[in-house]
Amino acid sequence: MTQILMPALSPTMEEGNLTKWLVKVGDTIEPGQVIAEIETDKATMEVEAVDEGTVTELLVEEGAQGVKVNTPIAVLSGEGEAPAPKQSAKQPAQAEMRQEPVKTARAEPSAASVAAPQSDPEIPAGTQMLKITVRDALRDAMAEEMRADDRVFVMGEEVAVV
Amino acid sequence: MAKGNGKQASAEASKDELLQYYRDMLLIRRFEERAGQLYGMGLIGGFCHLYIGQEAVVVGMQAALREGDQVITAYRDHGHMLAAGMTANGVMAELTGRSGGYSRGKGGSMHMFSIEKAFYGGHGIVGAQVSLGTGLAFANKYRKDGKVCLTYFGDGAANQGQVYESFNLAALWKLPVLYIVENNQYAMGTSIQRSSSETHLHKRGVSFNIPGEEVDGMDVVAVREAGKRAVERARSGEGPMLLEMKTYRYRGHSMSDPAKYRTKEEVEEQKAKRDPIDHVKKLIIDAGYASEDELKNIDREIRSIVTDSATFAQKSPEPDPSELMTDIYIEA
Repeated sequence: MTQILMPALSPTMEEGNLTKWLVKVGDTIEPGQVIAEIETDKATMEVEAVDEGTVTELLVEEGAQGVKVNTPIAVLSGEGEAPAPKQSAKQPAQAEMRQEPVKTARAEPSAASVAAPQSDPEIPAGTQMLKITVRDALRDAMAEEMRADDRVFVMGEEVAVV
Repeated sequence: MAKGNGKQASAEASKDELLQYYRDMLLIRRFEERAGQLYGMGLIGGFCHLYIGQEAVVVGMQAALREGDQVITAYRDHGHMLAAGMTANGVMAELTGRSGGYSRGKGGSMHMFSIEKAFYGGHGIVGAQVSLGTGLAFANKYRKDGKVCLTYFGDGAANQGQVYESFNLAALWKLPVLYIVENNQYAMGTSIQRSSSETHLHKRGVSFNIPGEEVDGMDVVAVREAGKRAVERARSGEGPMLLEMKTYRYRGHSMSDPAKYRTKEEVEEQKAKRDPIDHVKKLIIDAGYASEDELKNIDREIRSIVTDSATFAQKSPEPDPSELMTDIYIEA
């Protein structure tokens, strides 16, 4: 038995929506087969199987929103391979162990407001300020653009184009 | 010069050779799938560029080499390292940033080397490895050690200026270097037709008197044959050649690439019609060299090597903070 986990498909992804299952319970799958589509903060991506086996359970239903990275989304029973208790027992455990560092890798936007730069007349007085990394700011801005305009998409390595 | 699509029925490979190629290519594919999974679990930092689909290129070229010949490439490099004989454990642990990795967990995919296996990286600057590889070949000539350096780059890097400065000197001095363009048709998200005035990249050496050849990069035996001829030529002092490997990557440029620049149908067609592993499998089965069951046994063996490497890459400790300032300079 192997659990399939919600994957992180970019360095900044923390959760995603499971938009579509491309397999159902009872299906036999093989490595490299696309099993689901997920929507990240940037794009719709395909999830490929790594192990072969039979799908015995889908743990997250189609359309589920905000599925955290490393959440089990399906269960696979091994086929053709020697029963791999080592693998199925190990990986989720390892995932859990690593979950903390993964989460904190992204600096939490601190709620503590930072003094607004006085010199910028564009910012209305009293605007709430957040401290955020450049990377997160870029990411959020790209995501906002993509939500607003479906001609904007991400290609290659986090490059947004129209 | 241009040799059609290299699908020669004349190229022969023995049973042992074909089984070895099957094993080596499968190791790369299973390794990459597992690396993709570890990336998905947040265990690999930064980016992750998978080699799935292009396996025949490195496995075929490696079969044309002699012990001591060097290999240098860019950052889609896991396959090159495995083909060069570096261990799955050491490569995977480097990807997860652990001390059991080839650069002791401090390098990742873009800074991984093995002097022992003559693998010189693993480079993050697009095209820069071409100058470095040319330099390695210059050293070979200077030392008269008879080694040849394989210098790989992609179709995107083929438009970098330093590639042509390197070509000029390599041809002028008849350096023992081989330039191998892995033309997978997309430079990140830009198709070669949209980026290149001359899309037949093997012609790019013409003005330097570097002969070129187009090779079916999905056919491991065709790759090996072209590789042998070119390596022989370079070793005998006749200078560089430019081999254009027509290949295809199945996955995105990196893990976070949804690949909207090509259709799903295109990818599916390539997988169904040109897959390099299926190709060798068919050669083996058709010649009666092994049965489906025997190949399944190889599959199982490979899977266990890869599973073990994933376990090792998660168990190996992170580098100690005291390692922060080590391996930076070398005492000359």
